[in-house]
Amino acid sequence: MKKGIIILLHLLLLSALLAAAACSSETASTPTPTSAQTNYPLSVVDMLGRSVQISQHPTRIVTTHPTATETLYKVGGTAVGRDSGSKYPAEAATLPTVGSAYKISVEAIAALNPDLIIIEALTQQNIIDSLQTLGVPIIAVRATSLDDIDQSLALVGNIVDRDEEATQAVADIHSKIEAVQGNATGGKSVLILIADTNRIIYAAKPESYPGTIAALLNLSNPATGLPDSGPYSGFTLFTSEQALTSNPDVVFTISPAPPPAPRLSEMLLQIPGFNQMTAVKGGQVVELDPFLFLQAQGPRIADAAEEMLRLINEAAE
Amino acid sequence: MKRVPLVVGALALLLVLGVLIGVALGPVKIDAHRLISAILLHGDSADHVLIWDLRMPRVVAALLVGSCLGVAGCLLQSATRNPIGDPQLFGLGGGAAIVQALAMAGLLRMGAWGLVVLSVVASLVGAGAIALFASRQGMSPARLALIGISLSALAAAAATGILAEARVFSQQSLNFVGGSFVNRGWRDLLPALPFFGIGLVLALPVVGKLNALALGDRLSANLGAEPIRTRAVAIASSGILGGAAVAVAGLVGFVGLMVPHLARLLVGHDIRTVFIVSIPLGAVITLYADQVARLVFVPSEIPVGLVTALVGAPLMIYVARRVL
Amino acid sequence: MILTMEALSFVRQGRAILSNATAVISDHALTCLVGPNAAGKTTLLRILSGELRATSGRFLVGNTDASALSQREIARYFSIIPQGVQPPPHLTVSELVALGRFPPNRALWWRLSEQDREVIHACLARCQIEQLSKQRVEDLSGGEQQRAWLAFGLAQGKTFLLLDETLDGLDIFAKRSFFQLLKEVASEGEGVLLTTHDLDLVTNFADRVVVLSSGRVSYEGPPNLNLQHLFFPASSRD
Repeated sequence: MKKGIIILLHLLLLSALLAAAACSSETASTPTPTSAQTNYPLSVVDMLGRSVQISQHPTRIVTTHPTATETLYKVGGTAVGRDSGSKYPAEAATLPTVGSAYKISVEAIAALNPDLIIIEALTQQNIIDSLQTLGVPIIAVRATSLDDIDQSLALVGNIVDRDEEATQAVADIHSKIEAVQGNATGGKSVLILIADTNRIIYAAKPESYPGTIAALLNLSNPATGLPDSGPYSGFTLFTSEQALTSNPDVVFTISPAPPPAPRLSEMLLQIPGFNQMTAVKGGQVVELDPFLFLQAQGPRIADAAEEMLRLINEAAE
Repeated sequence: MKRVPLVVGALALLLVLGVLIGVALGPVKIDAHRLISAILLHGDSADHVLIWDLRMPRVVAALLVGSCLGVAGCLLQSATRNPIGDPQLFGLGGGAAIVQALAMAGLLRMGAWGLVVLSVVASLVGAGAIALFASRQGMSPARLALIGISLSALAAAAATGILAEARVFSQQSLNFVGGSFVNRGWRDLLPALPFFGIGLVLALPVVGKLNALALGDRLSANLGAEPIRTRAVAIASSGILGGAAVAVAGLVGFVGLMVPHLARLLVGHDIRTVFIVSIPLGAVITLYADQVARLVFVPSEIPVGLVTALVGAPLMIYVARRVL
Repeated sequence: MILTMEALSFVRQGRAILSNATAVISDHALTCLVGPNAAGKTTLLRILSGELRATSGRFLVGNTDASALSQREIARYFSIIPQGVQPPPHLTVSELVALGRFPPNRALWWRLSEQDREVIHACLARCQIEQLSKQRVEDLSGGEQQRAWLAFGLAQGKTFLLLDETLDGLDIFAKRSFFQLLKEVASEGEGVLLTTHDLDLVTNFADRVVVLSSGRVSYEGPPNLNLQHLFFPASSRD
């Protein structure tokens, strides 16, 4: 009897803890809709579903990822610090840096005395804990889909009291994309490849950022429907045998490592299977700018689509 | 000596089977009829390309690397009288791994031939260090193993550092530079073939003397086996073979460690028979390990170094407990 | 065949480990090299086997100046069994003795010839260990191991056998029977040079004695003196 009561108490304690954990865990909810003017203090839900309190109009914002930087500047905001990878727009490129997006320096952020930090949702979740020690509100943005970009712009616009600019930015992006789509003839297939170290090659699926852009241009993608594999989400491991049996019209390659590291477009010529693809043999292999098409996903998606269309048309000639 | 033909024959059979598996099985299904016509007939059909340009070079690369590593391990273990001798473990492949990293980072721009030559030369540096220490007075097996392991860790750190500095790694996968046969073509493995030959030929005159080396330097010198020179040649040969192997496939671990022990289990302790058996045994083990890596989660792949480690690491622990 | 040592000296780091050692060792005889620790016995053996080079002096095998030869050439005359030698694991007695037939130049496809096998068999018989031939050397008792090493030395077919403290660690019975064996071996033709501390056994079995003390040969001749005197010249014992 006594033993039974003890077990019951343990179970109660356990369920209480679980309930508490469940309450504080992130639920997938959408960010709050915006109103025309911002009143502080403000309560928002960021792209990670986190509830965040903004007590006053932020004037010293630090961004830790190109997506965060470009989203902020697109709605007309400014930052006082950025990560070393954020190179756009030009005003942001001269800001002091707080480390790279892969290795943020909490101390450098603290030194800038921020009142808001904007991070990227997919790849920077793990730094939230260390950033919380600064006692500053943290907002996560995301740009894996057009919806994400719209919502992130609205969210940041709301926070910095630039709702109108945000709405305008969203409209601009959409109209530009429609214009690009109007010019796209479609009907082509394109394979987007990226290489890991030891010649292991991944293809971007339509769920990835570059895949999304290709899908916007109505380009078909041989990687559609393949399972997610490898360390990059939205990418699938692409073997030479698969390369042999797929026949894209154009192959795009992304080489994230800066020169003098070899370009994937050159390496493909040496890799068996890939060098047999008609597009590779015919020279229809184009390098995409890794910054525009991968690392700085965000508001410039329309520019990226425009660029990709231009490259497709060039390659087709 | 009598068992050797039997063992070699069995290994040859396993080899043929392994080659068949390597060309017949894969993400793209090929039935027996298509397979045979693709192998025998010439022409540009997709099957032919699949077999001869994709699967066959990968199979041959695995065989070549496996033989190199198996023989290198055999030579190293008897030359240093250390049962955990392994060209990767003792840092003999370390220089080659650094060369590989420099090439991946684009800091070295040379064709496949140049890379292999440079890898072999770099491996000889590590081999030289080991040879120097191994011939010192009072060098216990455990101490030499520690020196070798330190050298290899240093090389791995340097290689990883080069790649990290060049930002070749993606943000998520700062992996250790492991071995792999993925996407290896004929142009990658052909330059390594002559070094396989050179390594073997260099070792042939000293293999017989390695039996006497087991008695210790004083006694083997008294028998006329010239221990210091014999050891230097054996380790140099091991370095050449190890360097060529790394140039083709990166650091495929534990093969050089496992093969001599298995060979001894099969044919006894005479180093000459162990040497001969190590050639096909290393090839078979590496080929089958690559098939497992390639096929177990088809169409996804796991690193071949993972497979060899899963088998080789427990063996190493067992050996180290019993002998060192 | 006579081994003649003429004024062999060996100096290391300013210390004279051997000074002016002169002695004559002949085949067909068991010669014992005795002396206190650090007297230079092992150094002398290492010079004879070619491992070390004497700082001055020379030694002749027959009429050949062996001290001018390379280690490989000197090794043709001497087989050595160092102090505290350990057998490789897994090696059986017959495999160990077979290694004694090792030819320095032909190695990869070398096989034991019929003659080799006869020699191995004969050596095992002389050392009375035929019944142990299939056992691992590391599994044998101390006395049996030393016999295995002796057979290994004999199988090399060289004129002189140099044994360094081979009796170390054996009990009195094993020592005695080993000494007897050495005496037989010597009588059959080899020249055996053994370093040892056991003066009683030396007195009983050795054909000749060389006493080494502080690097100098203080006595050379038949073992019919009370050797203790030579170690403790101011001893109270008479």
